[in-house]
Amino acid sequence: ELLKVFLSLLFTIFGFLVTTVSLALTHERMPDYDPLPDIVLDNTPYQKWGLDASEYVLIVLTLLAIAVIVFHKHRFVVIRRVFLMLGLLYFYRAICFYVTVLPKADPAYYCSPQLNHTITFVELMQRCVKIISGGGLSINGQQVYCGDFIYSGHTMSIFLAFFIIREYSPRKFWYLHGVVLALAILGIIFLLIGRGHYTIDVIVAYFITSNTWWTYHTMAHTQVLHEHGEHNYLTNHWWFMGLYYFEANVPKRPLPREYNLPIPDSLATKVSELVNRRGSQRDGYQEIV
Amino acid sequence: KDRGAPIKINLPSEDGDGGGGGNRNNNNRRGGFRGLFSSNRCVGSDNIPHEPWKTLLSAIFLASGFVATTTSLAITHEHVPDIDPLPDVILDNVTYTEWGLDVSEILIMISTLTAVLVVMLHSHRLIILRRIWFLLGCLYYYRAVTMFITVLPKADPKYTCHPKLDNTTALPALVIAKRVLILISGMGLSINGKHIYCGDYIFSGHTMVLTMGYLVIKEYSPRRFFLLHWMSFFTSVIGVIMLLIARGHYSIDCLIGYYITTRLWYIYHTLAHSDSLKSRGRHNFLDKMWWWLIFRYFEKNIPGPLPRRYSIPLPRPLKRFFRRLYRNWWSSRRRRHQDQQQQQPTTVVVTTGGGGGGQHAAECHQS
Repeated sequence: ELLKVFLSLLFTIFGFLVTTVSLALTHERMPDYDPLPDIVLDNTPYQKWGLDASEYVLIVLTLLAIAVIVFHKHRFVVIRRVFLMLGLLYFYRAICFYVTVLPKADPAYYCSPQLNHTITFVELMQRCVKIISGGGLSINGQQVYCGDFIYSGHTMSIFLAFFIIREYSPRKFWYLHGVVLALAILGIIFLLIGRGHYTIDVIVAYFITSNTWWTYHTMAHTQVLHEHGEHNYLTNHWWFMGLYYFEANVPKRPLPREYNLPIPDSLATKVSELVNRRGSQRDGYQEIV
Repeated sequence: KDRGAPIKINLPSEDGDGGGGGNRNNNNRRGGFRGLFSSNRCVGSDNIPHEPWKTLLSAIFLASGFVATTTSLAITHEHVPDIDPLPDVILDNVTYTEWGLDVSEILIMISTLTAVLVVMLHSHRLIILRRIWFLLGCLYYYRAVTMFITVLPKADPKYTCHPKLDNTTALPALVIAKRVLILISGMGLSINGKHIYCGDYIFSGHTMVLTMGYLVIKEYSPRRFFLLHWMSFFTSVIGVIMLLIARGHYSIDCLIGYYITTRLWYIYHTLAHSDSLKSRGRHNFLDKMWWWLIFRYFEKNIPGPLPRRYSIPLPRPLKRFFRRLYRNWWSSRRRRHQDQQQQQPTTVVVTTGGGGGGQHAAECHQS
């Protein structure tokens, strides 16, 4: 159902744009105080490379998650779900870091100077373009607008990637799951010792991401949770109609873990025919079709 | 079977009078006044076991959560940075009103008392209390963690905070214990002057209690009490608004408090109302909650949503006494009107032997 995929993609892009605008505006309001007292940040030695390391971990995990989705047989269903959740999480983020602005956690981090006048629309757009071109990562030097602390987008993306890999990759790849989990935790540790975020940002991000993921998937797997009623509080979520629409034609049970190449079906059959014929000729065995 | 115990047989009559108590099956189906005096043993009329010991465990969990949160606050107080309040979209754009916090706390008290009343009048109060205390305990534990890990500066520069100890080493345990006792005696409210330790910003306990109050009233009071539900809703909303205009909390504290309370409530109650979600499996991702096993222990014998039945929470002997009083009054009233009525209710009360009193004349009437 490509239309639904397209709609969910639009939703994510919209969420991303809202976050970007929110960040461009929040930057102006960021206070110039010392970093807040924080249990982890105050008791661990600062490592300048921490933030970059966590972003490399994030990139690796994201690529792995993309690979898992691309090779999944039901990739479009998975993509829809991921996009809906991403869009939602970005929205929440846009609201959270805008309402109350925390001071910089890392005094050594370069933040663009604040304007001393009210931001104009053109300047806002310029900032948005700059932020989007960086994709939210600092390693490319485009993340010069600060203030997006609660909650941590890095943690959200890292854990989302981990959940995707864990749920949609083959079950017997348990070693992969273990490695990915270790990487995720390492990424968070690097993030904290690089003072990319406060500890509260990380905790809140983990809580929101995991709750949304688990709630969404439990609803997608259970028919009875798609019906309004006294038994079902989960329809109170504001995104329930989105879930209902996207999952309308998906059978209400866990997606079977099946994989194939992301090529059109006709091409796939031709390729497999070729391979079969080649193989049978080599063995001297005539396959009767 | 039981020598000396009266056997009461009640046939359903026109005006539905069952005499108030003997026949458990019939009586408890009635709501309203008569239902308030129905007997309510450990196995309720809907065959839902009440299991009071689980409620006790839940109470202990809540108490420990409260101690954790107050300990966390006692320690956090020392680390509150001495800087100006953080920029906040609501706090910076509304006029500061000092009495807002008091109003908010009065609304909290009203909301909480109403919720307590609703729960105590519910037939399955032990189960509901168990749930609420467990959820509150979880929320208090979360709060203990979140306010401790990153400390925000005072949102209200005019709020008086107790001076810090200015000790570079760790706080002595005695000091912490004393602070915990003071905070517990104040129940978390500032209106009594006991909440003098600051730093408990993320997330807002006031918002959490207001939200919980509304959710409890909405879920456990009769469905048609629209006025009560709406009033409770507005109480909670106004309570949060008052809290914000008094700079009691930052906006992010209220947002997170609201989010976490509602999500936990929704998830717990959906799990409790659904059979399939009480089992582990790939269909059920909610079993990854850290408290899922505790939830299973508490809710495994509860089949689905609790039916809305209400009764007065009196001890059984007292209820039996009132029931007997009421039955005597009712049957004497009926005897007075016997001649005037065409049809008489069919009430067969047959008592066998034993224990003096309680011998009623059998009244049968063919209609």
